[in-house]
Amino acid sequence: MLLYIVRRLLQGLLIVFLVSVITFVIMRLLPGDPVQLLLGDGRIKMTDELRAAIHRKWGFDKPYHEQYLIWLSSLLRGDFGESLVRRGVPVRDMILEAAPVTAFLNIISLILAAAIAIPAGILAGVKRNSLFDYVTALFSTAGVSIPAFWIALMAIIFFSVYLRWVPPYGLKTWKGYVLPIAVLTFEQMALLARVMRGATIETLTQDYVRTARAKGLGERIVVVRHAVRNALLPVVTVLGLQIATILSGTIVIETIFALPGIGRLFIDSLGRLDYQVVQSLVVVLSALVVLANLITDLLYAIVDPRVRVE
Amino acid sequence: MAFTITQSLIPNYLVPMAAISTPQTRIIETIENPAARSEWMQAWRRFRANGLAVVGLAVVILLVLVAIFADVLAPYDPSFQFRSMQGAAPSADHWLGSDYNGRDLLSRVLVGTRTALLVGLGATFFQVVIGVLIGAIAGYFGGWTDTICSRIIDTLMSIPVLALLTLLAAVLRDKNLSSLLLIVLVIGFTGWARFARVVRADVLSLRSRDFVIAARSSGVQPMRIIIRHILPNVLGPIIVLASLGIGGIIILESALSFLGLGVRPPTPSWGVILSDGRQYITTYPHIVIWPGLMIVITVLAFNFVGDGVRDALDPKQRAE
Repeated sequence: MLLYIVRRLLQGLLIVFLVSVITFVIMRLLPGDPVQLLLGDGRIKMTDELRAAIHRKWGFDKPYHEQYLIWLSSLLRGDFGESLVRRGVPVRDMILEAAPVTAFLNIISLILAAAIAIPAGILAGVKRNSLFDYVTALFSTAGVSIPAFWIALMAIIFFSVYLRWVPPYGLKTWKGYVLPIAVLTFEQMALLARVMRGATIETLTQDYVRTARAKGLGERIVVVRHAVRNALLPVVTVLGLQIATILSGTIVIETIFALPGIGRLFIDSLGRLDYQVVQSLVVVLSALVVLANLITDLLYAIVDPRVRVE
Repeated sequence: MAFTITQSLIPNYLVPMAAISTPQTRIIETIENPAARSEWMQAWRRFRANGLAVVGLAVVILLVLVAIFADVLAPYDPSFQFRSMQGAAPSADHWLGSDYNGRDLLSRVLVGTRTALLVGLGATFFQVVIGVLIGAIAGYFGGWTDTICSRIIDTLMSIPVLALLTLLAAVLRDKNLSSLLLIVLVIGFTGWARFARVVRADVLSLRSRDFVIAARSSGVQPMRIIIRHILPNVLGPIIVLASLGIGGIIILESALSFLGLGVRPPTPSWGVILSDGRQYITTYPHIVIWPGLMIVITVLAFNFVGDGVRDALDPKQRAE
C-alpha cells in the first residue's frame, strides 16, 4: 500500500513536471512583449536601455532553459515569483487571495449537488421508468446539454434583471454567491445523478441483493444497506474525475459573475500577459487534479475491500 | 498477399466480427431476419428502434442542411448593421430582433450554425485520428513506447481543459490562421487523450488474440496489422465516444468564443453573439436567448444520437 502511494506520488510529480514544461513553452510563445504591454502599449516613451534593464530585472534576457530552471527551482521552494503587472506582489499571495472564493463556490456547490443528485439517482434507479425517473433523466440531460454560461445568463435575466432578487455580478453581499452556486450545482448534479442511477440499477440485479430479499428483509433495508453502499463506488470515481472539469467550469462562471476567484485571475492574467501568474496557476491546478485523482483511487481502495491496490 | 493467406488460415468463427455484440442477440436477430447478418445492419436496426435517437438524427440532418445553406436561408447579411435598429425587439422584418449593433439576429444565428458544426465535426475528426493513432501504437508495441504515450495521455488529462485551451488559443491568435481553423486544431490537438486511452486498452487486449498472432506469425507488418486487423475491432467504441463528444466540443467552442478566445468576429459564432449580448444583458435581454437555445438544441440532438449509437453498437453498455 505504502509502496503504491509512493509510486503514484512519483508518477504525479512527473505529470506536474511535464505540465510545467508545456506551460513554460506555451507562455514563451505568447505573442507580445509583456514589458511593452505593461507600459500601456508604447504610450509611455521608453529608451532601449531602460527596456533592456527591465528585461534583465525579470530575467527575460537569459536563455529559455535557464529561465525555466530558475522558475522550477523557485517553484520547488514554494516561491511562485512576483506578478509582472501588479509590481512587487508575490504570485502566491494573489493565488491565496483568490483561492477561498473558488474553493467556497465549488465545495458548497459540490456538496449541494451530491446531496440532491445521489438520493435522486438512487430513487430513480429503484423506481425505474417511473415519472420520477423520467423527471430526473430530463434534468440530468438538461444539465449535460445546456452550457453553464448560458444558464448563468438566463438566471441573470430572470433573477437579477426581472425579479431583482440578487445582484447580476460581484460579491458586495452574500447574495452575490447565490446565482453562481446555483448554476454550478445544476451542472454538477447532472452527471452524478446519471451515474448513481446506473449504478443502483446494476447493483439491484446482483446475487447478494436477491439473497437479502430472499431472507425477508424489507425493501428499504435491502436498498439502503446492501445496494446503495456498493452503488456509491462509481460515484466516488466520477467525483474524482470531475475535479478537472469543475476547475474549467469555474473559469467561465467567475468571468460571468465577476467573482474574484482563481478562474477570473487566470483569464485576467492571460489577457495582461502576466507570465508568472498564469504559469503558476496552471501548475497549481494540475497538481490539484493529480492529487485529487490519487485521493480518489485510495479512497476507492479503502471503501471497497475487493479492490486490491497492486 | 500476406493478408489473403491470414484470412484463409483462420476459420470464420475465430475472427471476432466485433466485440460489440452479444452472441445471443446476434443469433436471435439472424433467425428473425436472415438478411440482417451484418453487424452494422443490426446496429442500424437497433438505432432505428430508439425514438429519441431518430429524432436527434433528424435534427442533426436539419442542422447540417441549415449550415450548408445558411447563406441562402439567412434573410440578411449577418454583419450588416441596420441604422436605428440597435437592440430592436423581434418584429415582422427581423424575426429574432437585432443585436446591439443593429445586425439581424436570425441571420447571425443561422450562419453561426455553420461555425458550430464545422468546429464540432472538424475537431472530433482530429481528436479521433490522433487519439486512435497514439492509442494503437501504445497498446500494440507496449514497453517504453507505451510508457511514454501513457504519461503524455495522463498529463493532458490533468490540465483543466479550458486552461489549456485558452493558453493555446492566446498563443496562436496572432498567427495568420483563420480563427475557425485555429479553434478546430486547438480543440483537436488537446482533446485526443480520451480516445487514446480507450483504444490503447482495447488494443492491449486484442494483440494477444489468435487472429493477431496468426497475422504476425505470417509476417504481416505491424502497421498493417494495426490498421487491417485490430482497428476494425475497436471501431465500435471509437464511434460511440466520438458521437458522444461532439456536443461537448460545441459547448467548448462557444465557451471559448464567449471568453473572447475562440472564433473572432466577423465570423458569427453562437458564443460570440452571446458574449456581445452579455454586455447589454440588462437593457436588451432578448439577444442572449436565441444563440443559447440553438446551442442547447444542437447539443441535445448530438447527445441523443450519441446515446442511440452507444445503445445500438453496445447492447451490454461495455463502454462508459
